Amino acid sequence: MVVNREETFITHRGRRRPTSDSRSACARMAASPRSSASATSAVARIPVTAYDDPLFGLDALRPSTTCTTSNMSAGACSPTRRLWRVSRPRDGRRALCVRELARRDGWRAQARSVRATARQSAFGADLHRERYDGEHYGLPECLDWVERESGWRARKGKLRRAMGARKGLGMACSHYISGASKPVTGRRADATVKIKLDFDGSVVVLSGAAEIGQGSSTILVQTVAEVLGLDLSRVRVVTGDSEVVRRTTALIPRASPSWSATRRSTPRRTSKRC
Amino acid sequence: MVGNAAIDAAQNLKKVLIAAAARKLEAKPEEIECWASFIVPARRTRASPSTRW
Repeated sequence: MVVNREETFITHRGRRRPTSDSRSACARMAASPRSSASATSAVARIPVTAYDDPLFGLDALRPSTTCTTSNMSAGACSPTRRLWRVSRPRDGRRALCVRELARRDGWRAQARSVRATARQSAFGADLHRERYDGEHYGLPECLDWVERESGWRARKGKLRRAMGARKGLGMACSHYISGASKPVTGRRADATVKIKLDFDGSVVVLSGAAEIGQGSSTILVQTVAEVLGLDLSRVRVVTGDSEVVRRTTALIPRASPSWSATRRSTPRRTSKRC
Repeated sequence: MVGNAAIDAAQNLKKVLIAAAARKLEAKPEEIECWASFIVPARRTRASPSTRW
């Protein structure tokens, strides 16, 4: 299954805004290997299925909401992953918005502060650091650094008037986790990268994550080149093809924190393994 | 996206390469130094690289 740039954008970045009446919206996406993918936005319980391939396909659902959810008793720590959990259709057909499921299942939906959200993210949570070998993406530390360097605590609450309006200092952050080298939601890694060493001494980086214009391919080349001590010209990248990298949620976000998606079935590989 | 996976993959490949170079150079893996595109035993100078990959 090859996902192109637009399809990857739909599955990973296709956020929908809540409707004008503050109701949450859901986006349902289905893709098959031989046809293009499409996604549509629907309000609450109106899923739209574009394709229905019984052999292979991607069936994904993404709800949009203006606040994160919290349910520590369930063991989840990522707000976005909670969205995935609560949005998982139990009957495999219907899509429910987050708030409705939260109310029905007794989940607490509440807005959280930026810092609390960051510390409870998949790699920022203390309870996960030991499990994942202390690996995290450093967002809480980043916020601490910004707070310290900007003098936020000292300046907090000391607003001054300028041109009739109070001016102060605010802090906000945004983060998105779409893959990890360590398992987050199960036993398998959420992202997979394979490196093939060629006879001429160059390397080929095989990744399921598609370049969608954010420069990820360049970062991949730079990362591998730095670790191996190679010149950038000796590193090539092949992305966005599940034929070369299996079971990567960066390409097929089955357990991705951003989408609730299920592959109906996965045919066995027939080509040579890289 | 896949940054940590790429780092892990590259580090694993580097371990394999160092182990292979150590066998070829008859040295211990911990004695192998990597710089630029050369792998040399730690006791040798950069002016005389032994293995280029």
